Amino acid sequence: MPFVAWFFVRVVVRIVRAFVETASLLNDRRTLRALPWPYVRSIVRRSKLIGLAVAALVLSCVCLLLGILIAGVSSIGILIASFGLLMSWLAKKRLPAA
Amino acid sequence: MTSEAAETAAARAAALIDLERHAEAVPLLLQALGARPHDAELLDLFAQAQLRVDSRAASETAKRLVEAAPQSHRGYLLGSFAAMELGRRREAIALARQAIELAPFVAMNHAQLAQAMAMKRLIRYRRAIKVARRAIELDPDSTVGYIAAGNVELASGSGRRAQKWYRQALELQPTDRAARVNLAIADRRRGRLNAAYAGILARLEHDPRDEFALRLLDSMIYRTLAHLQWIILVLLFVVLGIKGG
Repeated sequence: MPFVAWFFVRVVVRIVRAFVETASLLNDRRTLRALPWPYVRSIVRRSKLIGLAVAALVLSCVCLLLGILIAGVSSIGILIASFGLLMSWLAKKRLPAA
Repeated sequence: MTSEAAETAAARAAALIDLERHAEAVPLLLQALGARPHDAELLDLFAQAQLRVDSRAASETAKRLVEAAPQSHRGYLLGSFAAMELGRRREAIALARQAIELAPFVAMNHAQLAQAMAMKRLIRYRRAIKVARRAIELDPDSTVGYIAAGNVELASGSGRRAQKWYRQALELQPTDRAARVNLAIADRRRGRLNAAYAGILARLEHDPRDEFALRLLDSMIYRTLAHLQWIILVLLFVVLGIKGG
């Protein structure tokens, strides 16, 4: 039971951080404009795992939009998004330490 | 390669290391060492260049440097850096201590000991921060002590305090690349994605081929991607809750 509670708290913290950090990044237009976008895009070609993670992200976004209209699609989206999370976690593990 | 050519290669390699283009310096130094295999200065530069490319090889070169110049602290210091990269904490501490024994007034040796002591889980925070303060006392105008103190704080999990030290280093030397990039790492740890990106971009502006900054940028992109995936996953659960499976 304590392990389940600990895991739950970690997931909640992770989600809150994801929302807060992404919102603050999207608010900073100057930094977004300054990003080396060709380099950012090239990361998909450099790592197959991250390519799969990006593909899963796009597909799960599509499922999210379709899920609003059609019941059942969101469950498929959840599966795809979970797969994408697994891929990006694996890709991060292979990344050299910075 | 003649002795003169070896000197020219060494000078070029030193300039490349200053620009953080370590991988390009390695072949130059290999050639130069062919002509002068026991030259302490060349071995020193070679170990520095290898540190970013191959830590194991850097560790071996540092051992060769210790043999070539046993009275110099440099071999031990570089060996400590390599051991730290390889995750050998005890060895890193022992080598940094030997460097301090040989050159007790060199701030960098104390800074390295502090960083080695503060590695990840087996943290000895108080002792490490004391050693970092000693490095600052020895050379208050150098950034190394402040950066080491920041690294100790970062390893102990205090991003906020680490930022303070890195900012102090940047006040002394606004162009210090280590302080800037470590501040970006502290920002990333504290969840300030935009500040972290800005720090990395500032460093890339100075040198677009900076390997370390690019590696850091990669890790930031991965983090941002994972954030987006979590957000979509939560929204999908919300839609599932409203519309049903």
